[in-house]
Amino acid sequence: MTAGDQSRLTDRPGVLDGPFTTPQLLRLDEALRLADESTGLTFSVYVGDLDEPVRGHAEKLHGQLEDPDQSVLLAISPNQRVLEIVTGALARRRLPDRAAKLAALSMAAAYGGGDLAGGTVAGLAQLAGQAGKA
Amino acid sequence: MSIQQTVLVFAGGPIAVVALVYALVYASSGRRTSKRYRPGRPFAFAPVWFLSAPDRLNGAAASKPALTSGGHHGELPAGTPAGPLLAQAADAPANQPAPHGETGGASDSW
Repeated sequence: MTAGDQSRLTDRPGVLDGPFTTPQLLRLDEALRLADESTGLTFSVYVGDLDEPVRGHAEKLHGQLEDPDQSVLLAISPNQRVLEIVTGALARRRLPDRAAKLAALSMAAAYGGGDLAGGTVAGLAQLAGQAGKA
Repeated sequence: MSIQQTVLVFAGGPIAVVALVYALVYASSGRRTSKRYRPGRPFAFAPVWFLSAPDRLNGAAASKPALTSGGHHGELPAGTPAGPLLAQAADAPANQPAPHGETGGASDSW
């Protein structure tokens, strides 16, 4: 991890006010980059409140990504204690709902123990592993 | 040694050490728990949205996307021109699925 990476991470306002410490942010960044590179899909993680209906809001966020069909969104709402994994039409072929449910289960187990960063990194790795190589 | 000196050395010294250890423990644990999420406790952080390549977000809103969205959940920041997808979504009823292709995935709670 170079100094350049670190400044890229910290010059975004709001990120450091979030729930993650700097080492956790670096781990998340690395997990996202590895997942994207190995699968060719676009993974993204949203941590914050979701409006009701939760699923609808998560899908709306997913629709704001550049190529929703190729994207996977992990939406986590610690206040409501729910998480949603949204896969686009093309991503869904490589990442069936069953695989997503399995990742969701392990993430929820980690969140239940209070480990937001660890659960997210593990979930990303699991999803990337299930999706396979590009 | 006089009585006062004895008390100062044998009682005051240990008390000072204990107070120092207390201060260190509470100062460091206070700082550590402030960022920690605990299930069931309120989670008061601003929403954050991570992408490995932040330019992959739609439209002009991408410059500083949901990272700064604050309380405007599910809404565009004021003054942002809506892309075609979002313009449709604003007109649609709340329960309407996203206007792009079919989505899948999973949900869970803890």
